[in-house]
Amino acid sequence: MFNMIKADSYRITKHVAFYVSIAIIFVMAAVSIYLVSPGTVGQANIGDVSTTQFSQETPLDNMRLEEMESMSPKKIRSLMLETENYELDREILGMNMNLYYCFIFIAAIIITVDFSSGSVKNTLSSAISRRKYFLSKTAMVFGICLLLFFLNTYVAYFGNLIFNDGNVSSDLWTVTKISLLQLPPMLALMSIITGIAFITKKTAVYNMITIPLVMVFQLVLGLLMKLFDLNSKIAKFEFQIMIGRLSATPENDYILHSYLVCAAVIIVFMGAGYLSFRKSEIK
Amino acid sequence: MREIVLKTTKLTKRYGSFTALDNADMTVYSGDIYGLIGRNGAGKTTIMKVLTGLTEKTSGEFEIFSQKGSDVQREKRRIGCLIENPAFFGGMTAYQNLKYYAFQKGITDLKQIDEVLSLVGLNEAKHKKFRKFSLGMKQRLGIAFALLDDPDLVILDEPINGLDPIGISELRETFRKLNTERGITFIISSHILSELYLSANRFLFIDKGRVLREMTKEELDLECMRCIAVKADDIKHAAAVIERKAGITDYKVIDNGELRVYDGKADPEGLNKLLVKNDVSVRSIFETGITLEDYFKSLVGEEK
Repeated sequence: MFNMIKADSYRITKHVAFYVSIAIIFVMAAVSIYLVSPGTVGQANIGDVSTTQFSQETPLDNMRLEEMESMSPKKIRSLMLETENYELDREILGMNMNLYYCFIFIAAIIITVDFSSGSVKNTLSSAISRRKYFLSKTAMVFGICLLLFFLNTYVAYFGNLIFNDGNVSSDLWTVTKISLLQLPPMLALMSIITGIAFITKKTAVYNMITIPLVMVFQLVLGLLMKLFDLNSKIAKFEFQIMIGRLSATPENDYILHSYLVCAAVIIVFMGAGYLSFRKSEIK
Repeated sequence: MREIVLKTTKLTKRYGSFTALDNADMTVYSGDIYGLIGRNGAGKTTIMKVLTGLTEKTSGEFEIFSQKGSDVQREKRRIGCLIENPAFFGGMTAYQNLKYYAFQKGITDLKQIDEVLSLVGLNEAKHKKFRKFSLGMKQRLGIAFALLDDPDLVILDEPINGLDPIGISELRETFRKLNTERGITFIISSHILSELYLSANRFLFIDKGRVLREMTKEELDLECMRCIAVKADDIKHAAAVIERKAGITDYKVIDNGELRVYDGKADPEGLNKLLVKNDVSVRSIFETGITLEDYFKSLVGEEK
C-alpha cells in the first residue's frame, strides 16, 4: 500500500490539475482577502434555512443590490474593514463547500484517470489486490484533499492576517478549531466523490455526476421539503449549511447529529464504491 | 519433470447467457513459450483476464506457481502482463510511466527501467510523451512494462499488433533470448499462427471459448507434415505389417483407428495392397499434409 501511495504521489505531481487545485485555493483566498468577503460557489437556500443565517452581520447585508453593484471593490473593501467584530477567516471557512470542486479534481486524477486510460489493468494484473488498490487510492484522495483543506484554512488565516493588518481576523486556535469541527463533513464529501469515482470509473461519467451533484441535491431537497411539508430541521444537515453552521458557534447537540449524518454518508458511499469495484470487470 | 507454472481446470467465464470461456483446460510448464491461438473473440483475452484477476471466473479452477485461490495474489508479483491494448498515462513520458509502476512494484533499482526500455528498443524515445507514441511504440512500452521487475512468467496479449516486420522479428528474438537466458516462461496470444509458430514451443488452439487442442510444436509439425494417413480397424496389426513387410519405421500411431506414415518413398496404393494382402481391414488411406493456416482452419471447422 505504501508503494502505491508513493507511486501516486509521484504521478500526481506530473498532473496539471493538481497545481490548478492549489492555484484555485490561493486565488479564492486572495479574492476573499482583498474584498474582505468570502467567495462562494452557489449558496444553499432551502426552505427557511440559508447559509447566510450563520454569517456575521456586515454593512453589506442591509444594502440594496443596485447600491452594492454600483460600489467599487475598493469601496467594498474599506467598508468591510470598518466592520466591528468581523472575522473574515471564519467567514471563509464557513464557505468551505467551495473545496468540493477542488476535491472533484483530485479524485479524478487519482482514480478515474487510471480507469479512463486503462492503466488500472497494469496495476491490478500485478501483485496489487483490489482491496489494496481501493484502500490506497482512497487514502491518497483523502490525504491530498485534507492537505488542500488545511492549506485553504491557513492560507486564508495568514493571508488575512498579513494583508488586512489583523483588523478582521480571529486567532489561530479558532480557525484550527473550526477546521477540526468541519473535518467530518469534509471527510463525508471526500467519501461521496471517492465512492462515485469507483462506481462510475470513467472520468466523463464521473464529471457528469459530481459537478452538478450539489446543485441537483439542493434542488431535490428543496422540492421535497416544499411538496411534503417536511420539517426544515432536515435541511440543516445539508452539507453546505452544515459546513456554515459548524464554522459559527454550533450547539453540542447539532455537532453530534451532523457527525452521525456524516458517518452514515461515509459508510454508504465507501461501501457502495468498494462493492461496485470489487467484482467489476476491468476494461 | 518440469515445474508446472500455470494450470487451469474446467475454467469457465460467462457473461449472462454468453459463454466466453467454456471448461478450458491448459497446462504451462516452466520454460515454455506457450502460444494461445484463436480467432478474434475466441476467448484468448478472457483466459488472460481471468488469470490476471481483471475479471472473475464463473467456475473452474486455476493455479499459478502451484498456488490456488487467494494465495495466487502473492505469486502475481512473479508475473508480468500486457492485456489488450497497452494503456499508460498519456501526459507522462515512457520513462515516467515505467517509474510510476516501478514505485508501485517496490523496485528500488531504477536502472531496471533503462534496461527494459533498451530490450524493446525504446531507449531513444524514453523522454517522449506516451500520447505521442505510434501504435508500435505503445506496444513496445507495454512489453517493457511486462518485463519490469524480472518476472518468471510473462503474459502478452497480441504483442505484435501494430509492429512492422522488423519490429516483429526483433521482438521474437527478444522473447527467445529472455526465455533461454533468463528462463522466463511466456504465454503469448495471437491470431497469426505462422508468427506464433516461429517463437512458441507449445500451443493451445481455442475457438468460441472452447479449447480445441493443446499440443507441442513437434506434434503440430507431425499434424501438418506430408504423410499417408491409414485408418483401419486393427491398427496394431496394420503397424506390424507396415514395419515388418514394408520395412517402414518412420510412422506414428495417432489413435486406435489411425496411423500416419511419414516415409517419403511410401505410396498409398502400394501400401493399401500390402495391408489388404495381410488381412488388414483398411477403412481409408489417403495422402495428407497441410499448411499451418489450413490446419488451424480445419481445427476451427472452416472450409478450405
